[in-house]
Amino acid sequence: MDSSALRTKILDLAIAAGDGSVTADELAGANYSLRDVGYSSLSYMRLIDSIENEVGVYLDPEAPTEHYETIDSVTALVVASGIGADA
Amino acid sequence: MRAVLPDLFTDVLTRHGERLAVSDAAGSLGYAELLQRARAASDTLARHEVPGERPRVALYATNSVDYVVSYLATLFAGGVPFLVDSAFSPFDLSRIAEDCGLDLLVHAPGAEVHAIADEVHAAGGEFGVLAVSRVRPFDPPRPHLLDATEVCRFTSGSTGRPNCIEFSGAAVSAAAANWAKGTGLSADDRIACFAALSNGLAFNTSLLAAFLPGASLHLSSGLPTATRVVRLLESTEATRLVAFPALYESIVRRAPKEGFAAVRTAISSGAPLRETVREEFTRLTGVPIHNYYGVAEAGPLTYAAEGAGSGLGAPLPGVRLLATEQGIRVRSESMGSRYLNAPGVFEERVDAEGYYHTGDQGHLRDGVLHLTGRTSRLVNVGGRKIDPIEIADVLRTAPGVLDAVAFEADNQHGDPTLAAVVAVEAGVSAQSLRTHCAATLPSFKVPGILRLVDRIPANSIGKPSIERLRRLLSEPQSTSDPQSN
Repeated sequence: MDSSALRTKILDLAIAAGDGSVTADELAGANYSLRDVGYSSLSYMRLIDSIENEVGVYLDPEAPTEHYETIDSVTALVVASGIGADA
Repeated sequence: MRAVLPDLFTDVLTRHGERLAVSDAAGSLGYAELLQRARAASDTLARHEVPGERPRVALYATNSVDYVVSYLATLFAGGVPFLVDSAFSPFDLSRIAEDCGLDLLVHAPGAEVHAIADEVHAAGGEFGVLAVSRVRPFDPPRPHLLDATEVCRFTSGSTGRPNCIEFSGAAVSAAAANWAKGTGLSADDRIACFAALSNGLAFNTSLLAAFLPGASLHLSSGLPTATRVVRLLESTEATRLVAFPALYESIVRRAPKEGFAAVRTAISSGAPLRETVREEFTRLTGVPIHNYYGVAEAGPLTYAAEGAGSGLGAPLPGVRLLATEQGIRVRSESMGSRYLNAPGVFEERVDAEGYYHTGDQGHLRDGVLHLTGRTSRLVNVGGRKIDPIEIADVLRTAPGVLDAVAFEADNQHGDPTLAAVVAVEAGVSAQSLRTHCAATLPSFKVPGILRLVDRIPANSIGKPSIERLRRLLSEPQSTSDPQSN
């Protein structure tokens, strides 16, 4: 999976893990900031679980909060946690 | 009046001496070490004595060994700890500080407290990773604490402000003793606690309750995802797991193969646990989930010793519980005394016989409590109670908002969440409304589902129709709707 495909996958997982009113358009409008679209702690738990299930990597929920700010920072965290761009 | 808790903690910390008392990811303390650390920190707090008053010390931090040290230090210094949910916004904190007349804040170094307080002790001293700040005085004079009050905790309140519940030392002591007795806590127990110690679930089941029999308390902060929980359970060989339903759902999603070998008891409270989650968790781990029912104002009330079925269990020792058409009413040895910052509101909920009206509805069947609903309007999202009126009021103050209604609705996962339908002028976006809410509300009060419309649907008498609002949420947002403008 290249980095673009990984990012797309994480975007899909983030929408699925939300409470239901977050769309891809809204995320794009918010520069892919999860916090700006009102991502809740319960949504983050669902997202981390689904990334761990689907991508096979452990994400530390106590990592600095900036790692969980945006789709791009979450993607970078996943890569840094052991999934390379070509994994 | 002589305080109860300082002597009680001194006794149990001395009695259990070298046993392990508390740990977190950064380290651990034995009982004797905990007493020593708390005494040293209390000497520092005592230097900020308020003439003629007991210092009011807010703990505004996530779980840690240093949090427990700070709690005990406040008690040993003759102060009153105010356990403030670290998820409360800086705006909430400033209102609490003013309403309750706080003197000091114990907080993480990065916490946004600078608008109301000046740091007097940097992190790295007696309070470990936590810093201490002095709150700047507010005017008018602060409310008077009852003489018997030794701890204050908060509930969401129904006035848009968190209500501060005053607890006597006897009530805090009874809550812990009755929980330990009613659930069979022993010195052999190791409790993994994933709920915030400011919350009743953790405060009543895992703080003094753990120390009374000499058990050990293992703390975690941050999101309790399944993988993280399993790692803590394995490293501590915990026998008890204390958590909100969201954690059990996470474990079911991840389906871990290991980690639960030592766990004998899992305790869930704060929000309803879905039966499918309970069954799947037990199938995966072999561990039964025991329901616990507690009310912030009255402490722990029931415990399901059997760990099966949807019932919330039988009343704990020291609890009398009535389930009638008026809803569930309770009298307990762990009752709070009143709200410090909402005079008369608590008292209105206590009847002539001394029973507190919980706002929950349900029935007792064979002595086991079953909840069926609520008589109050509060929305329970993941264990946190939210007043939808407060949220609608905040939304109405946003630029371009014509009207707003907030209510409980199921999200796409079938979980209750806070939804809001907002009538707006052209150009207003969901993101701008979320930003507006987040400026004053804690993150858990920002609606998870937002739907923007031209006009709020109303029933025949002109009131918002919740049925039509819920139906609206299940329909796709039209491209002609304001949100898309």
